[in-house]
Amino acid sequence: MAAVASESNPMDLGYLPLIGVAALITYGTRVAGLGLGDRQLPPAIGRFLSYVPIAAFAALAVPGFGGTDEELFPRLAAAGAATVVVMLTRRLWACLIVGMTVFWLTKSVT
Amino acid sequence: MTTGQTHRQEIRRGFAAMLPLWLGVVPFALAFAILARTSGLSAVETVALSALVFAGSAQIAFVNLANEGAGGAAILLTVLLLNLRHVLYGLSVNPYLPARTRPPRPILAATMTDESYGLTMRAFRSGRGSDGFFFGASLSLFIGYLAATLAGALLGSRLPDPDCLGLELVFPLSFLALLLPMLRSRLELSVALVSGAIALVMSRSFDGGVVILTTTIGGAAVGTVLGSRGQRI
Repeated sequence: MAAVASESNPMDLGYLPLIGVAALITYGTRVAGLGLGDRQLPPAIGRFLSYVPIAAFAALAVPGFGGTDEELFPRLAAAGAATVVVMLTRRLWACLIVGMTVFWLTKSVT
Repeated sequence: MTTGQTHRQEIRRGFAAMLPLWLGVVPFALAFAILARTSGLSAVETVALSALVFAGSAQIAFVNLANEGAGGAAILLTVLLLNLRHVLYGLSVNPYLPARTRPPRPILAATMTDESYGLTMRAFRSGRGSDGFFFGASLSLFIGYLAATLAGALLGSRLPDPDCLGLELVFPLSFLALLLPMLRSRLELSVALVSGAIALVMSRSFDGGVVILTTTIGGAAVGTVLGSRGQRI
């Protein structure tokens, strides 16, 4: 395969050792919590963990709708439409289709 | 907790539940692969990052830092920081899982992501979660992500720019859809609002993984304190 001029040799392996260590570190973070199994944690920790999904999902969602560029309004419109769809249907795919459609339509007219 | 369905059916159900999220993950992986290839990583290295690290924000940080000539220690520390949220995910999904999972926890952990954790927690909280569902959802994302990385690494900049469609919005839309049904009390709504505000402010200065980690700790701590005081808010 002819490499694109700005791209490196597709078979270079120089970063592989570093990638291997990065993979081990990442795996460590994944297995550290899950690997505890069914061991009992103190009640306060249990309460803390029960709020983790809500806090994490808010952190994963909200910044994607913010910003100050010209796409702010289309993104907020998509979020509003998606909220209505989720409350009505609870369907992830319906939320995505409606949200993206509203985003593209709003973006095309603004 | 189990629905009486076979383990294999549960894996298929998890796999299928993840498919709508491919809409956002495939262009993301394509964009990552193109970034990596144009930053000097080889096709083998690019695919190895997705196959072995399998964590979007850490992979992009890896490529950017390597491109800037950063040292190995700085790259690895950043990867650790961006991925520490997985510890919280693992701890919070643990109580829902059986003592002996299928596959065993060390394998289940290998492909856990924001997305598979999110779908699995939603499934568990609505009484339809299982270890098989978790594994199927994780596997689904892994396959889509790896295939798209491979395509991007081989075709590189000959592909159209995936950013032009705005499909990066699929990611926040997905987590909005996972978040909203969880907000059943004023306390939970407060935790979401506080967390959203923290994330919005922090995202102006920090990378995604750091924002998620600190917001999750801050938001969950607020929930714990308010909940233990029994405040009616």
